[in-house]
Amino acid sequence: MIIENIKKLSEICAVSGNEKKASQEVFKMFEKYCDNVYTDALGSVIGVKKGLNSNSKVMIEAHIDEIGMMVTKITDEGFIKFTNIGGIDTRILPGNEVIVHSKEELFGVVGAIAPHLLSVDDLNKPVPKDKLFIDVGLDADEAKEKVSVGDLITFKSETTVLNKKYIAAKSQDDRASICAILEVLENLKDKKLPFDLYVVGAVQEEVGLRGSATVTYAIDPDIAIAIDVCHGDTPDASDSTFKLGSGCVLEVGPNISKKLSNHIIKVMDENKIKYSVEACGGNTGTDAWAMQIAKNGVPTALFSIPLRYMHTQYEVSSVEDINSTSNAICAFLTSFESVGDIFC
Amino acid sequence: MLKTLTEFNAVSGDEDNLRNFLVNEIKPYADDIKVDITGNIIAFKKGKKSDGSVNVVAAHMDEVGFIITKIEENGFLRFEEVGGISDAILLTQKVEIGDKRVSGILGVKAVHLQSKDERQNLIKMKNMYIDIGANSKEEAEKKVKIGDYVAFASRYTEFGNDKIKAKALDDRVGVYAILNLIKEEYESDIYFCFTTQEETGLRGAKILSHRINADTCLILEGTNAADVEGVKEHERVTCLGDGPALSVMDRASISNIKYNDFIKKQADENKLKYQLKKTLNGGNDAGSMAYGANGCMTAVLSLPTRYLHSPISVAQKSDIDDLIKLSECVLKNIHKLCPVRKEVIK
Amino acid sequence: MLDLQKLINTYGISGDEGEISDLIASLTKDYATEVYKDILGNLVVHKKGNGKKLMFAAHMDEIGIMVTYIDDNGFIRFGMVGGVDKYNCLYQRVKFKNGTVGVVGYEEKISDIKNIKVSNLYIDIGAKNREEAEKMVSVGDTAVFLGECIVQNNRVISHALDNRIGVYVLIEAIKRIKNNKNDLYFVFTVQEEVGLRGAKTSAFSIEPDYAIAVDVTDTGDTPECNVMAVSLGNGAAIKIKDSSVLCNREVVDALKECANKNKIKYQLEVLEAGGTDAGAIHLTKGGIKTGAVSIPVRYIHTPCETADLCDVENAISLIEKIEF
Repeated sequence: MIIENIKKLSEICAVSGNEKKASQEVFKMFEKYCDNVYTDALGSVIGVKKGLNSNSKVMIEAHIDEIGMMVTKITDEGFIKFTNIGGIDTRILPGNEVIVHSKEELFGVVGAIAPHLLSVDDLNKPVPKDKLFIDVGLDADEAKEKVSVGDLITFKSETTVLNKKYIAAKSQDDRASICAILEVLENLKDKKLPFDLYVVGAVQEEVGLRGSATVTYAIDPDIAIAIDVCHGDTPDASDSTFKLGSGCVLEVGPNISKKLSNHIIKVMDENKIKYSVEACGGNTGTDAWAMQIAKNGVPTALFSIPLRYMHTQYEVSSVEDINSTSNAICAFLTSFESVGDIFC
Repeated sequence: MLKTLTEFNAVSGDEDNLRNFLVNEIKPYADDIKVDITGNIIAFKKGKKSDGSVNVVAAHMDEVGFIITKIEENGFLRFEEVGGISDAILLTQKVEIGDKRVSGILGVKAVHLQSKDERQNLIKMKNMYIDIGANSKEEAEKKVKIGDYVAFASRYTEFGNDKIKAKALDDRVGVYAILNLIKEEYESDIYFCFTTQEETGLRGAKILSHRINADTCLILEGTNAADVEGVKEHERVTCLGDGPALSVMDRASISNIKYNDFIKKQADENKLKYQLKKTLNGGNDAGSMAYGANGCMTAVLSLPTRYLHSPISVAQKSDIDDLIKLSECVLKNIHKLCPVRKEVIK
Repeated sequence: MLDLQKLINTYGISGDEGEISDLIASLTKDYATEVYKDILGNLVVHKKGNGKKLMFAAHMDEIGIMVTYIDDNGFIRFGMVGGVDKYNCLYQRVKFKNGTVGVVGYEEKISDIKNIKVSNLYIDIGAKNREEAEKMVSVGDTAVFLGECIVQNNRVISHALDNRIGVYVLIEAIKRIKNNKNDLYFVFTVQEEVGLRGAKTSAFSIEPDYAIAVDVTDTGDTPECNVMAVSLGNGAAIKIKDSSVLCNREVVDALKECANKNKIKYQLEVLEAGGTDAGAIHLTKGGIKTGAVSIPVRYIHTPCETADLCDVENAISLIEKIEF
């Protein structure tokens, strides 16, 4: 189920601020398991799985938006100038295939000046951001008619399974985590929990943790768990990376409730779940940072799924890690009778 | 008391021990004490003639420090900072790790072994490690774990001319002031608050602003004193011995003009010392309180402190007394400030 | 026009918006159900309606400087209030609230101007010594940059167009709107230039269904400038995004539709850097559907901001006509 879900979700275009397509799909997926599903003013999807006691609420969250680009201008020759939405390393762009989401979907390529035409100096430097452009193969008039300032642009990428265990696809940041939430819902579908479970696909994480802040404010949960991605191991980076297939990563530090993370570690040990611990001295850069201080404050935990080549057209994750994340969360959700037990 | 307070370790996110101590200390003086889920202490004291206005005085409990991020095979510990700490002050400092206060030294290879390049450049935190005398990962893991908080080990010392040296004067001085202030009686209702996680981005106070819909809020802080060698007159943020510093504006907030004028008036009428903070840098919980929820009038009084965010912060005792005197005078007369939530224009 | 000049010449810097808000209150109170100030100083002009609650926000503060120190020779050291560029302010005139005028200079020993820091700058108010200076200004006093308001070729050049021009747009709209369906809150916010602060608390208190910020935006129509599809004179700008907000699609579409229906000239705005009150408003409580209408302005945050009066007129019409 994980691979199918990732394929289905990651191929959707849902750049921050325009997540409708992803939210509609996630809405349908949540509906299978939830008593009630709705969207909020900013567009986040919220599913409620009623429990035995509606006085307490536990929220599990991942974001559904992805990084992308936006048209800033159509030049007089019909080329498209653009800006990034969310963090993109513009060095990866030249020579890539993209889709411009105008009235119709337009195929395009990010122009790459041939090496013959470049000076030796320029050959050794990345193309500056303001020199990049997209070629949709249209004449100026046609381009200006079809494309509008503000239209979105996404990577074109096809989900590929590597060596039967790793998945290469765009937007696994953070839809791999949505898949982990779906696994949690599947595993617990016949179980009544001692609290209402809120599952959330939040918008606008990539532009500043925005959707999660308002969702958390409105739900006002007793416990919140964010799921996001962390960096997977590659031969050129060892610090702050985690081996693909080594299980989920639990965050600790000021962003995280100490009592909550201690409890989760205990539960994961008892259930022999593979995990690593990562410590962060301040801003984890994830929705957990916004959720912790929403409204009256929320005890927050953060799980991360190791991911290679983050924010590119081919991000690589491991099915095993997604499974381990969902197992850890299931074990946690079934580990207490009342929320208060964790914090006394 | 200030000695006891500064010798608590309470790095942002790890304020439990200090909090438990404080709750006990204030119990006899508060009508109601709440500890919220994120650890802020909210102590309410009824006024003799409550006028319905909601007044807050707050100081943050937490201090800057570090967190253990990795235990190396050979038993050395890697770490990162919690709050803002300069790399320059770290080498060969003594630190304490976790609840058991395991001692360690912030190490780096001897200067003799460093290349010329290494010698000339500032050594970065990520290249340093903590040595707790463990020979292997297994041995180290018996004493510490990833996520343990690390505080400077620094004793409270009185020295020189009326000076003190300690770690965490930012903001144990504010905490100390509130412990004194809560013992007094006031006309108005006052919430005495101790916040968490100021150093990681004014986060505890953000929550506090939603929990208490305050009309006025006075923040008691530690601020930079730059009355030292090499700093030009106009860059000397504050000076030791000139009394508590009143902020007009910093990066996080602009103080309410009416509240600031009120404080100046109280100081002048009662012949209490104060100075104006000379630069617009820095930021504190006022930023969260002023603009949280419906907003409120804020002002900030700070203790001038040399070498902020280091284990050897230095302050002058007379300034601490003056800070408490002025804050007390402000709170005792706070009913005269008359905050207006909604002023209809005719 | 007279009102715009009056708005520009009235004092109002981030944190001290008392005078400008009094002026706005006096210009609008005859057209409102209620006018009030909140505890931070935001001015709210309420025009009651029975439909959805719609909030407009235009900030009334402007950037400037604050005195931090006065030296023995009467020179003033200062810090920036809001996004003042340290190079742009060299040799500009500043005007304090009490009318005192000063000139910004820098320490001559700095050999390379690239290396100047704010602490190398000073203001000369023509005082001979500290004593004389202290009679004119005090530490904590603020000043704004001076730039005479000139109209030429239907374009206006002045300081403080950011955002008195937005304020002017809202005031004109308030005067023109009659029998409104929506419950309208026009909020003139404080402290936008130091971090969208007033908008944050006012949106929290008002809790509207929809919100529209009215502010200035950059243009991409000057020689060899950064890429941007907005030009002076091409109409009111309907914002798609800036660094503080990705505008709500429903609001953007409603604005476009309204402009088309009423033949109001508009252009779409994608601003790569910079933010507006919309950024703070849309994240309020459980989230608010928020958009923004911008007036294109060249040379923002200098004393010679330049706008086109046709764009201003289009913006007024758009605000007047928009309904949810």
